[in-house]
Amino acid sequence: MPENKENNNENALQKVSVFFDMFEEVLQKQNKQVEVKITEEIRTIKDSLDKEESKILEKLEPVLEKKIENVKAELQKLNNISVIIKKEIRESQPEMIDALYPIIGKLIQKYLKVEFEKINENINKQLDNTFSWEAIKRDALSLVGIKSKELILAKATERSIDEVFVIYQNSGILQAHYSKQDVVDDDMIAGMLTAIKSFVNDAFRNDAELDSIEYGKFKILIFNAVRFFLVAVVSGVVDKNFEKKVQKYLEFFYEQQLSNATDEEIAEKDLNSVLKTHIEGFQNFGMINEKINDYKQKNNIDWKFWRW
Amino acid sequence: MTINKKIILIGNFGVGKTSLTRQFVYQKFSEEYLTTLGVKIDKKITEVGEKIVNLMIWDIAGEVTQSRVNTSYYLGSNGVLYVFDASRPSTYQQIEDDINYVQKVIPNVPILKIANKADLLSPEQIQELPVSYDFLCSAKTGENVENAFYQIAEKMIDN
Repeated sequence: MPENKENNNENALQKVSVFFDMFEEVLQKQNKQVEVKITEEIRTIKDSLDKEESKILEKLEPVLEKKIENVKAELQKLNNISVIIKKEIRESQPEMIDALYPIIGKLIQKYLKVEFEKINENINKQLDNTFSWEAIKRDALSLVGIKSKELILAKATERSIDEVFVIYQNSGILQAHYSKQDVVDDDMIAGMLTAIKSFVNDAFRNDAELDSIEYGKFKILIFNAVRFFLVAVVSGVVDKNFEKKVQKYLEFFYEQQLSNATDEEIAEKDLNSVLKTHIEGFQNFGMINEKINDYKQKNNIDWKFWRW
Repeated sequence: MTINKKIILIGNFGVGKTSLTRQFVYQKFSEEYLTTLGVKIDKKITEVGEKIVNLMIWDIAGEVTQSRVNTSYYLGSNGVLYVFDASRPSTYQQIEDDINYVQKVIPNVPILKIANKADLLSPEQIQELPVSYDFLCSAKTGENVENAFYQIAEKMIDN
């Protein structure tokens, strides 16, 4: 009975498949349960973690605060140190100045010099601009009206002629020398100055003459005449006006003492002492006169009636 | 009374101009000036007869006829020492041209020809030197250096 056998087989297969279905269902159910359990488990772990975290934080907080306090204290100490340093500096100013001066002193000097020169030029400009009738009157009445201003300024911005050389052009031979202090060897300095002058002229193939050299806080001003050139070494706050004034003063000396004299006449003169007297009179050289002359030139007014 | 005179020392490179001055005077300025400015100035006070002469000695670097030489250093000089190296003919081959040139720049100024480095030559070689000179000097031994300066000083005063 093969048919029966087949039927039996089919039945058996069906049963098996039903069994598998059931088995699968069971498995699925179990899976779900497991899943649910796992999620529950996770949730509980999560919850507990949150709690743990806050617990840890609670524990950490005082430690952290302590640390912060410590850092603050350290910072405070540092602050104290800077206060101490400040105090130290304040208390030992002379020592600090001694230590720092060589380094920054020169810079400051140079800076101040330049600034003073600027101020000086500005003030001079203003003096020129505001040179009114009032100012003249005031000047005439007090006689020292402008002068005092300039003197105050001159004191604040002290400058001076330190040395003057009267040198033959070309040969560089020194004819007269005025100096505030002893110099190495004035003859040789005169020679070197001449060489430098010739060098500059030749190097730049220029007809113009070298009329000033600047080094550090000194300026060398040169007045070039035909037979001679006159050199002034000036120090301090040297602005353009002062330069002009010195140049003029050198020219004045040249006209008075040198321009009309022969070499022999000059050699016979005691030119050194003449030069000394001349240079020492520089401070009083045409302070008010200059202003009045400037004004005269600007306004072309006959001033004779003002001289009472 | 002191008389001031300017002497220039000229001649080719390496003939010993600077050494000659070094023999003659105590130098105050550094020799660096020679390379920077092309000139170095020294001073020597000598007595000629009863006169005191203040010699300003300009030691000028470089060749004489080179156009780059700063001829304005020549101006105003009262005497010239033309120096050459007796042991090197190349330093005196141009001597006539050079001296003519100098006379053009500064006319009527006494010029002395100095044959230097005499110590490098044997007496025979000196005899056979194909060039005329006023003084045979040695800056190394000091031979004749003082005399040369003295004579130029004399000539300048007479001039």
